[in-house]
Amino acid sequence: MFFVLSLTHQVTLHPSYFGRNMHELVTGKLLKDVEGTCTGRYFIITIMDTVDISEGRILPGSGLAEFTVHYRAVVWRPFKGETLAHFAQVDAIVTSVNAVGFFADAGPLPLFVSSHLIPTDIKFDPNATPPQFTNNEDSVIEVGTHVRVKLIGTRAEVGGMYAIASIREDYLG
Amino acid sequence: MILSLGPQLKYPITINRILKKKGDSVKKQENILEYTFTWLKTVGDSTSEWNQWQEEQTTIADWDSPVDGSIKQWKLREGMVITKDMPFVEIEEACPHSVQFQGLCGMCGKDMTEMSWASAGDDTERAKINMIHDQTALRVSHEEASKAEQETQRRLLQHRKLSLVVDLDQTIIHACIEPTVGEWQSDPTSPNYEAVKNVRSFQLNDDGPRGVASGCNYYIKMRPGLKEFLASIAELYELHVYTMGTRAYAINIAKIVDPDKKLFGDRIISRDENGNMTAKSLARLFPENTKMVVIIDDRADVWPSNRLNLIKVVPYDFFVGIGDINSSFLPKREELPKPDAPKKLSKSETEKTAENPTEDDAPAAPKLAEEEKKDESKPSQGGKVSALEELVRMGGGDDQQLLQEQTAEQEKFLEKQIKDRPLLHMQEELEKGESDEVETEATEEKEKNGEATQEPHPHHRHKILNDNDDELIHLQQHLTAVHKAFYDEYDGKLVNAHGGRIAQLKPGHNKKVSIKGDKADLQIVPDVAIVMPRLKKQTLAGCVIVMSGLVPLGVDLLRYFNSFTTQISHDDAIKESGIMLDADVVETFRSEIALQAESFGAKVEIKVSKKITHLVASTNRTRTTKVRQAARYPNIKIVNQLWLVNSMSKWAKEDENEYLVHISEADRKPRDGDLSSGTEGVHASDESSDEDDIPAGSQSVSSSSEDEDAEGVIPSDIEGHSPIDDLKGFNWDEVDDELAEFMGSDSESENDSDRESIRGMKRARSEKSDDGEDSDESTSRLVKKQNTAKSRMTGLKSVKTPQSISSLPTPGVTGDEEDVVEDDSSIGDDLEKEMEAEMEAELAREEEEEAKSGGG
Repeated sequence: MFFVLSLTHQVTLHPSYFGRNMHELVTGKLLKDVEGTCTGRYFIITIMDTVDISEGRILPGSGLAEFTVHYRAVVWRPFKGETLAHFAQVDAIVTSVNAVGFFADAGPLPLFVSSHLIPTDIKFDPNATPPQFTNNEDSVIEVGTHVRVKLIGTRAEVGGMYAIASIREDYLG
Repeated sequence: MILSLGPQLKYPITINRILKKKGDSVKKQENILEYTFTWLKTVGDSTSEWNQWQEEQTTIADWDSPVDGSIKQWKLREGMVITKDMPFVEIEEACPHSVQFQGLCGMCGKDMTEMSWASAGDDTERAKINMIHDQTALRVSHEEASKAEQETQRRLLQHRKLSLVVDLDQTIIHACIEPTVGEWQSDPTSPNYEAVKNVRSFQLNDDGPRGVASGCNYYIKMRPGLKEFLASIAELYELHVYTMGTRAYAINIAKIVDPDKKLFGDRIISRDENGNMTAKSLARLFPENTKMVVIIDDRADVWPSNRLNLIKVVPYDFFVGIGDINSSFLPKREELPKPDAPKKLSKSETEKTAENPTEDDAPAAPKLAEEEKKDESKPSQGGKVSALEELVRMGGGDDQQLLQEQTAEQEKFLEKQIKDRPLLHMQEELEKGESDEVETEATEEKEKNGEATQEPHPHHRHKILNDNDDELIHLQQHLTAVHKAFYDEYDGKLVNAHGGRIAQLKPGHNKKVSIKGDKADLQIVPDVAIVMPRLKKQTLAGCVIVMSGLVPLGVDLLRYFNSFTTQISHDDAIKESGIMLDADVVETFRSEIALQAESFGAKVEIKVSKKITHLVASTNRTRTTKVRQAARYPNIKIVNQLWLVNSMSKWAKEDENEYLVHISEADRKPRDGDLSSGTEGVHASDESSDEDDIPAGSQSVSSSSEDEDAEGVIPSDIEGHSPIDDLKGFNWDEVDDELAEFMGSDSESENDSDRESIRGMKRARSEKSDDGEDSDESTSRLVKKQNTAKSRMTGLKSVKTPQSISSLPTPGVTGDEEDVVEDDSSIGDDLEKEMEAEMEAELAREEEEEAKSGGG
């Protein structure tokens, strides 16, 4: 789900940048540092605006200036049980298909749908090129297909998050 | 899942209450059992010992479920007294967590890395097999893996296919990043234009930083007939790619080889997913059973545990001297020395000098290698470039435990290729050789040219790239044969398994469908690892082979022997060499070629005897002891290594007559022994590639073959004869000229003097074999010359290190050989001073020599 959060971030600036447009530089650095990252619980999708930039404080020893920036950002926190249908107008996109299941990307979140969580009538067909899951009718899951999935579990590591998803329910797939 | 009480409880315990009935569902950490146990507690005044006593206490405790699921069966009743650890309840798990992705269960979505006080063990341990081609994060359990595999097997059986794991580099393609190829491609006038016309190229940009090699073009040459080969094989096999290249590389190759993704699909595994930098393993793709898997690879040593499934392919070497760009970090390929005749330039020869440094010229061998390194730094002599590559690769082999260095190693290798452009130099070299001496050039230039003309092969070939490889045709036949044998056996077993009437009613292959799902049909599947070796064994069955001059000596052995030769007298050294050769032969048994020959049904022996049917001798070392011994038995066919290679490649015993090694009549008669090792042989060290057409007897001594020479002087029946008889016919004027040139001119490159020294060594040896017997006048001259050469050589030896260091960073120097030489020697002198303490004896000789050269 998407949220707007008020967050703070410490930005350090090299002395060579001290000058009139310092605040712009701080904002720019903030965007570079923060946007698109994963904190372990949510992804920071975009920064809306900076609310406040504190006065710079020179760090003893290095001479860098440290600014505390308050900003508002749109964040995305995938929840267990959430259906990813509305993510950026797109569903998850399948990246790789194999006998055990398929992998997909929902924006920054890589997820895996195991064959146990795929409806039983959709079977893996290794003879097709490229390999695909299909029920031999209208639905075919191959690389590049958009799927609507429901998150079953998520796990966060320092640099990213991973999720297990299911399409074994009505209106999924 | 059956749970047991665990060893940590205070037995005996009494079961108090069972909280869940059969069929009830339990959650993780939920209490399912209540029990009581008694224990002694010390009570009273803890400050004084005699006021304390022990009291029996009864405690009620809970037992919590470590898993989710439902109770299937209790194995105990309320009121039972249990004295030791035992399984007590069976719980049917809600989820076996058999598919895990990044620590998440792929079936229930639970985090598997979580541990709690109730959990019985690490849940991630339950699924740790990695069997998906392009993912390492996904792991499955044993059950899941074998289930998936059985499904694959059934599917393959149904389609009457097998799995084929295909290596890329040098098996079905040859890749290089040498920019020269691109230039040749765009230049229709280039002699290599025809050859490189079909070379495909791509760039790898997404491969991370690569230094010089980033953004370079990869040139891919498909093995001749590849398209047809793959198309027809794909009907019999399901193809997998398994390469030591990076994933991006593998995918790009697959795009070229298989643009529609019809053949390989997504079944590509690269070193990014392999998990091991030096070995490939079928277990990575087929964890449970490899019965239906065949491998084709050009290297057998990377498949340590799957040798039986492997068909070794003759490496495809289109871009001469490039090797495998993706295995620079692997241990050096163990290979047969290449026969000279069909080979280009001096490559095979230099390779051999680098890789078969032999016992006798052990002191000279490192120097040779070094000499080649120096050549390297002068692009004008680029024909020898491959030698350094060999060295680099060998170095890589030494470092192989330092896996993290491999990428750097490869980078270095690639960079070198771009900088040095070995192909270009080879071509230049070749053209130079063809245009013969150009008079207008300076003295040094002439010298260089002379050297170049020594090297090229006799038939004037106008291009170095040749596209005449028919390995795939044989390979296709083999694969078809294996497939047929496999399914013949399978059908046979199938008929037996179902026996009698049913078998008569239905033809074999229909039945498979009918019993699909039956476990039995997988059990009767024959194992390729049994079927294929059986086919291969027929090839050379009944052949008892002795190899001669094919297996390079181990480096350690070499050193060991080296110390002996310098310290003890020559006769002792010969004895010693006998011993060492035995050790070498032990080595032979473990060597690649012997293993291979054995896999084709041949019996490899050490010693020549009556039982032997074939002696496989190296084409350019045809006068080894073994050859001579074998020549005495009329039943032994003496063939060159091509016979063995071709037989193994074609899976059929080749007609020996085409490969017979020419044995001089002298060798046929045992008494005439060692005589003809004469004038030509002495010169053969550098020109042996020239002399393939000269009858074998007269060109035995190439610089790489001296171990065999040492061997050659062992037999007692030869001792009565003096090789110096031949020296009578020796062209002494020539030698004198050479000597004068060598001593007098500073402009002479050191390579020459090196060679000189080697020749000197050789002469010394051939002469020493019957020392003191002959007092021919020429002998003293020879000894003198030999001494000079030897002392010169030892002097060079002492400057070995600085030379290789100082000359390597100057690859740009083209014409200024003189400068380089001078640099080298000056640095060498400096270093000699530094090393004075250790090198005293050698230095003394060096000085002596310098004095002499001053006089001359």
